[in-house]
Amino acid sequence: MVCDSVIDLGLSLRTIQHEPYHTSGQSVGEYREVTDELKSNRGEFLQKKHEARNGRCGKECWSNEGGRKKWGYVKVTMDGFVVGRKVCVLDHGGHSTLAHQLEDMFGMQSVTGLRLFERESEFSLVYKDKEGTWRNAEDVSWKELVENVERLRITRRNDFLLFF
Amino acid sequence: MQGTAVGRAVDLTLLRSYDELISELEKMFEIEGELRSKDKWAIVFTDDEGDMMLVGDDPWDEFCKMAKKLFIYSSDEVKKMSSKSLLDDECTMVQLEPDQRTVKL
Repeated sequence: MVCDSVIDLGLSLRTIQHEPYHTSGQSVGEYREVTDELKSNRGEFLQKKHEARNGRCGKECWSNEGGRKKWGYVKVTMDGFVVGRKVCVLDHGGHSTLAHQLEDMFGMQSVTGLRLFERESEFSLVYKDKEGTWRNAEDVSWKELVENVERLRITRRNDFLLFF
Repeated sequence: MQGTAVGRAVDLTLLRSYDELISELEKMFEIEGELRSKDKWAIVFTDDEGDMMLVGDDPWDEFCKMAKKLFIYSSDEVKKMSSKSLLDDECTMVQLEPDQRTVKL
């Protein structure tokens, strides 16, 4: 993502998690690394950034390969729950912060919570890569996940075997 | 409100943010404060891929481009929803006109 007319608004994106319009009803506060910057509205930030360029750069500036992934946003669905969510993978630095955000979003769907990537968890996080193959998000490096993820899905651990 | 179909329209192009959309919907149904609380109602939409997503996660401009229909469900209904029962459930459905990007409530 290269653009000559980038205007630095002085906001750090180091560990920003997109604070969407709504806040979750059951936040897993003790797990989230929240700084003052996380409370800024990412959507508003991105809109200002885009407006600052007067749209000269067009979509190429912020969309990744012009595909479904705009600004790193990918869909997340959970088996058995029909309403999907969106997460921005670029907001995260690793599996654990992503897992925390997903816990926030979907944790209330299970009595025990998702506890993704924990050995005892009954849930797995899988992702669909650019070739359309479903893979276990836990098995790949964060870099590989971010570069290849097209979609995320929370599935019951035993059900994942059905993907093959 | 759930289970009623009201012939109203909201033009998304006249709104600049989710905040304004929520305000508009609350005013329309005279339920000020209820949509913002998130405890009582959930606003979901179907996108251009046919998936049902929660309103608010996407950047506003992207939401406007991809949203086709809006649904307002009670939070209890959302928790109980399965893929099969989704479209059968009574809810307030909002139709987005593809040409005008209006929201018909």
